[in-house]
Amino acid sequence: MNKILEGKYAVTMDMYPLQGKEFNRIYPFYEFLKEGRLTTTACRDCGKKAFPPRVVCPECLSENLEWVDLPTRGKVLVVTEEEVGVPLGFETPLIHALIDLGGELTLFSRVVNVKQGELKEGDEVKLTVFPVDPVSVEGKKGAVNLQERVFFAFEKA
Amino acid sequence: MDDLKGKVAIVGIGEVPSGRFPEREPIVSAVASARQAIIDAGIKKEEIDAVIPTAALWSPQYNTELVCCRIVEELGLCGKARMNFQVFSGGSSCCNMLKTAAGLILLGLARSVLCVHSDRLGTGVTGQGGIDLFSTAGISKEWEAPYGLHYSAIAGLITQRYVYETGTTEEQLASVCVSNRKWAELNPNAMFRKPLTIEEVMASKMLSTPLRAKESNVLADGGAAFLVTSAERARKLTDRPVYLLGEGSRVTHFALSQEPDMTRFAWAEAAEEAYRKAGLSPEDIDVAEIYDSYPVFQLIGLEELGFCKRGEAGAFVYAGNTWPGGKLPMTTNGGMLSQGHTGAGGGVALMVEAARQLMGKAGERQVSGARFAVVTATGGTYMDSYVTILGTEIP
Repeated sequence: MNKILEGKYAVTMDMYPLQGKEFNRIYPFYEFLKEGRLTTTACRDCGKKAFPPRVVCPECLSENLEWVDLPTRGKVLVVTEEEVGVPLGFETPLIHALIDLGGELTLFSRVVNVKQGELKEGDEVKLTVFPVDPVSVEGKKGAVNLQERVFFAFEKA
Repeated sequence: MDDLKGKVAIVGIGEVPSGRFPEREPIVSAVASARQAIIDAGIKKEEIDAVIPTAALWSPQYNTELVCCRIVEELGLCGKARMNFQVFSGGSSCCNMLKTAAGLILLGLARSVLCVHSDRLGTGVTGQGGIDLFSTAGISKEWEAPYGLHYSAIAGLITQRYVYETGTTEEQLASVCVSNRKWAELNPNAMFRKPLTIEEVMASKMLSTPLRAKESNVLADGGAAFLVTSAERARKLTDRPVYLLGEGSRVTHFALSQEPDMTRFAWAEAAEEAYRKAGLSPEDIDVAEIYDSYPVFQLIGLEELGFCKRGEAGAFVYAGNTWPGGKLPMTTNGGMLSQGHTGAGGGVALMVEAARQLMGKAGERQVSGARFAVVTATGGTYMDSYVTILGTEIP
């Protein structure tokens, strides 16, 4: 467990979603992420590819969705380097970018393994997946299970 | 959809100073503001059929009290008020409160409606608590919070992109804060009233490039209220009713990365709708209460609402056009950058300020002869664009 969270409001300020099948409707996203794949949902009826993953197609309201891969390489559109005032559990500088994923969509992401001042508009970046704090979940007969979790960021390609 | 013009009016306003007031319980801010609004309107409180408190962010417990009719009880309206319910869309709540009040009045479901806000973001949360609150409130838990994204970083990204597209300079951005401060110097309810210079803004510490500390709003305790009634009733109460003339709005996204153009949003569409309904154009507007929170949003607002061409708002503000005495008084209470960010109250304060200017009650900062005002507001991570036009005449 992240030291800084101990004894504080670890539950309300846990920045990462629960990712197991029992807790999360889009658990396949995290399963694919563990394989290094960035995925989202596409509609089998109208073909609309949405992001973030949905449970209902925002185009035709169909529930007939499938998981599809997104590009894992993209280009930086905008950068900001957060120097002070970051949420509990994060360290400065925190580098954020708006990333164009092969013209398919834009998304925000954190950019890691880069020093302050190094990332610029137009830089190529690629997906990177890393483990984040596991979370304890109560199981049957008082057992406490640790749920492993991952999240993603981008780094310079 | 176009039937609101001149049918309802704001007839009373109330507000308590924004800032850090640990001894002032938020219910005190709410009730004091509501009391002022009722007295200002000159109506019997029994005419209030509906009380609409917007949400307070600092405490779910306090917010539940608002939902559960505490203001009705505090004001002695038990057994008389017909409804008390919450209208909340973050920073844009003020516009939705006014629209909802207008709807109730037009349908004959209420005679007068009291809209109230109060919150305790200045002393109710710790420094880190405030950062954490604004790293999660309105920020997607699954898609954005895990990056450690905070409103400063979001405003940093938007400012960076706006600067890239328009060539706006750091000095021009800083001048927006100076413009707001010049108004706040004249506003006894503002949190920051000491004169501010462009150099001081540019020397303040970097929050998230290119956004600096003095370009960020500061969380504050505060409260404000406005009272809405029918135009007919309003004319009996005052010779300067503040009519709702037009409104327009669009909801654009939840996660900011899904906004197609984060240097424009839907302000142009919302403004076109509001101007058309009001029968007015940007040249007719005497006061522009543009939602700030960060300076870039006022520049975007000036351009998208038709006061400046794209990319020219920075120079327009830098030249002093929006300051006291300028040709387009803007955000005349000092905005969240100077009056203080009270949560949903940032927008409520702008609505109250627009009404105050039109009523001729703005004291030292009164814009002389103001007849028409525009108010903009947005909630969450700029998820919606609301434009409201108020006036003392029905054009």
